[in-house]
Amino acid sequence: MANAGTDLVGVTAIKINLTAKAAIDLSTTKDVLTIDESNSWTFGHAANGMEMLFHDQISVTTDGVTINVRTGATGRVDGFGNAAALDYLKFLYIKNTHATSTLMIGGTANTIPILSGDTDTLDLPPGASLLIQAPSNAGIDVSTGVTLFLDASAGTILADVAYGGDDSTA
Amino acid sequence: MATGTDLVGSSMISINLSYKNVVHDSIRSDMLAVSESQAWAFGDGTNEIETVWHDTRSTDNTGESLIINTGATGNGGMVDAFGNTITIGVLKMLYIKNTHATLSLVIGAVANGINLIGGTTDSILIGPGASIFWQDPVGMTLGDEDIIKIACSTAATVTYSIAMAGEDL
Repeated sequence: MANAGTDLVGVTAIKINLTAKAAIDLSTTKDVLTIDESNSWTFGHAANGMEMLFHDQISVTTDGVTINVRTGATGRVDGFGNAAALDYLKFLYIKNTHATSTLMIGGTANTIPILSGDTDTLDLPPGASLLIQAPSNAGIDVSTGVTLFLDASAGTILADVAYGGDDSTA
Repeated sequence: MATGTDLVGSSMISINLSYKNVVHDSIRSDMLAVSESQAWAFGDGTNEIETVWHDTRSTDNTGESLIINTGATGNGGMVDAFGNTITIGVLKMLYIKNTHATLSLVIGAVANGINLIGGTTDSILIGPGASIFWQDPVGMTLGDEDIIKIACSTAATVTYSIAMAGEDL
């Protein structure tokens, strides 16, 4: 195995800035929505801590692709060649880059607990993207539910996938 | 009450992470930068929205169903900041944050649930302090599937923040 990562720092964020307006006789009222949910990450196991980062652009067909988040098998390695093996998932980003096909997440045994059950699925329509942030110490526990399963409604989807969390080998 | 006449702005997923390892006398680094900025204009086409709704709420393990248009079960009576009943026909953006320190949120598991979630018994889990954000410039047509059910995973009351935007029916 390559040398384990020794540092992982940075920020993930969800930002929403919307201004809605409505005209009422002599004035225009506004509703300004500002959400900035930025999570700063440091290296380690604690809340807002991560030790392992994985990212890839994955081809997904109607046969589906299985990613074992717990072990990194098979061939899911970090930027340094280490198996991307996590105890706790702290963030997950997935983007469906296909123009017409839907990307389905979940629906297999031992699904990671972003879904309630093994048969449950979450759908990302064409062009849609998803970010889940779980900065607490426990994050999303992937000790039992280890599988991130991706499936295409049709054709071959290129899915952008990135996730990070606590290194299970550390 | 006044109908919305304009809705503009942006939403964004941003990831900037620096991952390093030390090998002997060198430091190798993996810099991940994802900036998915979505600009929104007023209207009913791609990259356009007409209604935004947001709230901070609480619910128990029985849960509450947010009915966001006039689908199979009729209007849910949710109103925007101007007092208009919302009728989102195409959902473009959804943000839910579990603001509770110890309890989990369950999203879904309802008949006529939005198609973001696969089936009527399927659901998403959002742990304490966790959040989920979904954006789609084309959007998800809702039809009769216009309900977002939100519940606490245990017999207690959980707090959460929610925002959504889309095209009107």
